[in-house]
Amino acid sequence: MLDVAPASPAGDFHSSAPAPVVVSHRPHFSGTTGEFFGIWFVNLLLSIVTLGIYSAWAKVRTHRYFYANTQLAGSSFEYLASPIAILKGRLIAYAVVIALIVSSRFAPMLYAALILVVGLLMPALIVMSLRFRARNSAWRGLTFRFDEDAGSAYGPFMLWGWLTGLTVSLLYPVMKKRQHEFIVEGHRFGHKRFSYRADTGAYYVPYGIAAGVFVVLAVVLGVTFARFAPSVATDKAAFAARAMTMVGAFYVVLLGLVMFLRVRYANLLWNSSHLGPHRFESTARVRDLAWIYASNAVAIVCTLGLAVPWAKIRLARYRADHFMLVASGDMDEFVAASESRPGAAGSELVDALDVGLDIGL
Amino acid sequence: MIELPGRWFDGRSSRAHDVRVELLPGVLGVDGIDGMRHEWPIDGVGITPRLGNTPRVLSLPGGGRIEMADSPLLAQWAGRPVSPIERGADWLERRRGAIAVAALATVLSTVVFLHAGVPWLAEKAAAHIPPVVERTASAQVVSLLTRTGVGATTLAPARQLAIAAEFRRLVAGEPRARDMRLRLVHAPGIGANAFALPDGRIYLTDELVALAGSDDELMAVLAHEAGHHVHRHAMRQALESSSVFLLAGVLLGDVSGSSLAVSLPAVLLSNGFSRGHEREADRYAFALLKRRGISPRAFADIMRRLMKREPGSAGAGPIGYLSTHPPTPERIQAAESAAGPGTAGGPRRPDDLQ
Repeated sequence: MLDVAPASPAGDFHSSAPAPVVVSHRPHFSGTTGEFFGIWFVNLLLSIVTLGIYSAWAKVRTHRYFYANTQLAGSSFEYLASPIAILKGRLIAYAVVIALIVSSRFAPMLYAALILVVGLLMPALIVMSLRFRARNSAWRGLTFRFDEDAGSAYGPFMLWGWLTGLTVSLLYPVMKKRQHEFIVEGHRFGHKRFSYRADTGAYYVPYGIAAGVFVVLAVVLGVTFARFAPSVATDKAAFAARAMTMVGAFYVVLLGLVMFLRVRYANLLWNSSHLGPHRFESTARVRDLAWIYASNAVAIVCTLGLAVPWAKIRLARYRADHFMLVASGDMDEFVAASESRPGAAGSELVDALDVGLDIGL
Repeated sequence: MIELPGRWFDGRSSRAHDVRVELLPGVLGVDGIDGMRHEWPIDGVGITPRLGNTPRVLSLPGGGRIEMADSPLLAQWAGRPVSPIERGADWLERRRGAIAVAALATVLSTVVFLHAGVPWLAEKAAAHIPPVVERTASAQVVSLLTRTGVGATTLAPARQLAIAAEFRRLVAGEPRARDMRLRLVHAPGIGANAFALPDGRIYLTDELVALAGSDDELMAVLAHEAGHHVHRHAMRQALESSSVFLLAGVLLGDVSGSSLAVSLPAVLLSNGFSRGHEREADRYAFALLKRRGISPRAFADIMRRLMKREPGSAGAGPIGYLSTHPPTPERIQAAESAAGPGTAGGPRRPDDLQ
């Protein structure tokens, strides 16, 4: 739950002349597997019995559980979304998915058109989902806000995507940086806006490492293949076995690289974010998370899914343990934003469209 | 005196005030807000539903909130009621025995729903699909067929006319018979086969015509394909497999259906539906053949020939759906028992019925 909507109070540093006291607050996660198992299992059962309708309530209860069990500086987070809003979002999403499935079978032209429309709407949908999540996340009675308009997401989430594609991913770090900047600076807690300061070079470090490993991997696999290919070319079974091993190794390393980039970039996002005088520290380690994800996957498969609650609790605990709010001064001085700001004329429309959409970021 | 500790937030700033909350009949009293006591009518105060051991939050008129630990004293909540759905969920979440019973009931009802509910819904829905959808879907199959080398028939014109006339007699007066159009094709890539498209076109390959020992055998195959059209199997199959995909996605939380966990059970289930359709088309064919004075044994005969020619395959059916058919021996046996004891054993006598 700490993925995007961060929480911290910010003292107004102009008002207090003496150097503020710096206090580090680590979130405390108090959820337990035993307790969450009941919630998770009932969610699953009721979702099945109600043909998925309950899944909206299930999502709210799950989010509330993780939010409320995360304490920062003495106060829990709150997830405020109404299940009905989430249900509306899901019904829309299912309608789109049904249209896609049906048209892919019966009307390929319509299918292509729908895919195009969904693709073109994606940045707007990302904004909607950020907005929904922010305004439904609260801490100490104040909610977060995400108030960038949908149009401004097309730069970081579409234009930069194209540029990255055109440059064979060479601009990928810049794209990530732009996206992070957009996400972080679009958020407010109360009236206080988050700010973001990062060095593009820092974004190139993980990318360079990943690209280097990838090139080495490709060369090694290529050379190995060239070596054994002639010797076993006549033996089809041996050839297939070797080729499969190599493809397997390739995918494992690729998965590791994707994971590496995600963790390092998530750390960069947090470590470059500020809320007033306060800042954040994210110290998640790639090898720890790789181990957690891999062992979670094994446990989930071996228990036919029953280990899912344990896996989720474990991950949340790790995340909380490797996160820090470094507060400079008082946490009590955040103030709610006045909601009657001019320029919010479109907010009714936004409210009408304010439905929970699940978009993984 | 019922007093609970809590932290009050005014909703305008992040400052926390330690307070004591008092639940009185009809009134919520809060001590400690700026050293004062405040009271609110209890029916204006909301509370977050109970969830595990998480804190409860009271929402006060005017935007204030009080965060407090859950307490048994809050069980007799007299303020704004919490959603009965969440109250019920919380009740269940705390009872392992009830969860186990509910799990069993869920598995059973899922099986029943997939077995009976989905096919029933698909049948009802298929009847309302506009013909234009059937035509569009068929056009796609036709373009695929053309690419796989399906061409004009090489049968003599007289033979073509004879088969067509016999087919018209076979389906005359049947439901949806008006849409049924026989297409004879030369299809070396497909081999001996027949299949029905959603819009009523029924394809019969020259290879199957050559394989058949008699016209009755051809009519038996065509009756089966006509059965697919009468019962709208193409559309029902599409609806069933889509809904299974969607359902599995909903239940497993992956609506795009891209993961193996979703697609594997979905494919297995949709093949199960398909086998049900084949049996239904067989039954229809047997009844139709009997009404036309042809013994269903003709169906058994052509199935035997197909099995002998391609021992690995299951028999006639739409391309790519071969594994979706019931085992051929079972179908042969069904045909023979439909033919009745009068023809058991010995060679087929087409004229011994009616």
